[in-house]
Amino acid sequence: MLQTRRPDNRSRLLDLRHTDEWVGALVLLAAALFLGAVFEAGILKKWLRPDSTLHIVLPQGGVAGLVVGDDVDVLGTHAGTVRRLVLNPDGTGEMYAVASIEYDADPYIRRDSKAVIKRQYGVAGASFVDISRGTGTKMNWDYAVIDATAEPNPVDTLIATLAQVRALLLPTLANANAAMATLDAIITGIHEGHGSAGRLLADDTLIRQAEATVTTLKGVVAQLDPIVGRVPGLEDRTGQILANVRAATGDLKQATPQLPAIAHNIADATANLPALLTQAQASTEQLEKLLVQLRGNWLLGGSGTPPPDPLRLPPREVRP
Amino acid sequence: MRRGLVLVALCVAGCGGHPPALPPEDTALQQAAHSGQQALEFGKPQQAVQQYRHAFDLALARSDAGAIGDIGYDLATARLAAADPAGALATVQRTRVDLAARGAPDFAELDLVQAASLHRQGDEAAADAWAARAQTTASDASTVARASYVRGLVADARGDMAGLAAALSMFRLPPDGKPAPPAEWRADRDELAARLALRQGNSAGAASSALAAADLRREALDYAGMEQALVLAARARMQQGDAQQAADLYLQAGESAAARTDIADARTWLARATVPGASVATAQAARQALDRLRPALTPHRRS
Repeated sequence: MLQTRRPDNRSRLLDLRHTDEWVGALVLLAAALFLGAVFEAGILKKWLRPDSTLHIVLPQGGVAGLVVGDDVDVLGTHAGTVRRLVLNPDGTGEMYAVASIEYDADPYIRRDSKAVIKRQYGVAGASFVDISRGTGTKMNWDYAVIDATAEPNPVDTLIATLAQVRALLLPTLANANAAMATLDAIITGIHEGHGSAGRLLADDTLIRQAEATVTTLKGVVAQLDPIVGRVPGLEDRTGQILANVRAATGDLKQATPQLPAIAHNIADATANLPALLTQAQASTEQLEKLLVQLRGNWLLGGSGTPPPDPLRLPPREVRP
Repeated sequence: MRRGLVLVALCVAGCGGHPPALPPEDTALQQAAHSGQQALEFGKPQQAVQQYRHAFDLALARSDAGAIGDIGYDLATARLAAADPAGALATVQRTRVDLAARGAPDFAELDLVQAASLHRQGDEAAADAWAARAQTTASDASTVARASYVRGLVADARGDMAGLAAALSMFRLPPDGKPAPPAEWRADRDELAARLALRQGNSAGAASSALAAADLRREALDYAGMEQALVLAARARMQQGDAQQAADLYLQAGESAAARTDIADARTWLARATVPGASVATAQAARQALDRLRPALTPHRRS
């Protein structure tokens, strides 16, 4: 028969006393630990300060390896994450990425900020969006948009440079090849005695002629010696001529101060010439008229004043 | 005696009178034109061109169609005398334009100087056309005669004996011989007769007519024309085979041209005076005259 054990009264009192309090304290402790964990995890912080949304317009040439989950850096530090890539299926609109930006990074991203898609190790690694610090007007975070460019891949640049070098180098090599062939032909021709240079090398007639010319020149120089000997006499005569020129220049210098007065007198004399000529013409005209009248006077055998001479020359003056 | 002198003085005074009032004349224009004419008579065609150019400007200032026509014709004639046929043609053209702008007709003398200028330039067909126009439209007999002379020269240059004879036929003496034609008219006729005779092979007649023309040119003070007549006579003598006479005539023409400072013609004719057959004295004189000539531009040249 099952016999029920009956504890003593003291332990029984110990077991039942303060049980509810202990359970309540445990629950409170668990809740406190939960809240502490939540606070430590930043979940609450995110609830209080939600991330901003930034639309990054991607380059038309491609997304440069950008995928969902890639980082967005501002000032070289992590400031957000790419949440979504939107590629228009019809291919006519812009491609853009939607990124969440942490609240702390918002003041550094402004309208003049530049977004560049880079790779972590230059030519390899995960892509990320590096946004420069802006100094212009603040971004409207209700609908923030920024244009992105892809950083040129050094490998592509290197390949393009090599292609350009190849394009420039190949014609040069071809020209050099042709020039070398021509040079080879020229040297071959000279060696075989073709052309003036070839004859110069192969035939020593010209050298002998040059030697004869030098010999003749020696004779000419010997004939020039007496002429050169007369040069001192010429120098003496030149010195005399220069002395005469110096004396003439001195006379001219003495006469120069009088030139302005002479010029002034000439100017005075010539200034009256036009009036004098006019008076002379008028006098001549009057004299001519008087003579015409005298010739026509009946007392001197004339028959009245003759008519004036016609302006037109007689036809006999036209001499073919 | 005293009363007689007083009477004579009163008679003289009574015969005096005031001339009719004439409109005032442009003294400067008249003087410039007169100076140009005198310069031309003195054998200074370049100075004549200067004077006539000044006179032409004064005529334009007056906007007087009559004066513009007369002075324009004079200026063209002077430029032709100064061996500038292109300038003469330009002057004729401008005169025609100025006359047309003033509603005034041109006249036969302009056609005559244009024909002479074209003949100098060697454009014989145009020269003959303008000379024919002057022949038909001229109201002055001397203009008709000069136009006929130009047509004769043109025909001779073209070798047109019929045209030359037709031009010569225009020189007809009046039936009674009065009035006696002037020396220029007779010189033109004799020169054309000499050219026709030379083309017909009548060397003797050509020489005779050319020498007569030379005398008449001398009488008319046309020394350049005289030289041309002497050269024509020399050609006739050469055609006769008389080189000595031809050289003498060339020497005369060359010395006359040299004295007038027509250096180019003088050189040509003096050189011809040294042809084989010339007398020693003639050739020596021609060489000495050539040595005295210095290179210079000719102020007057005839073709």
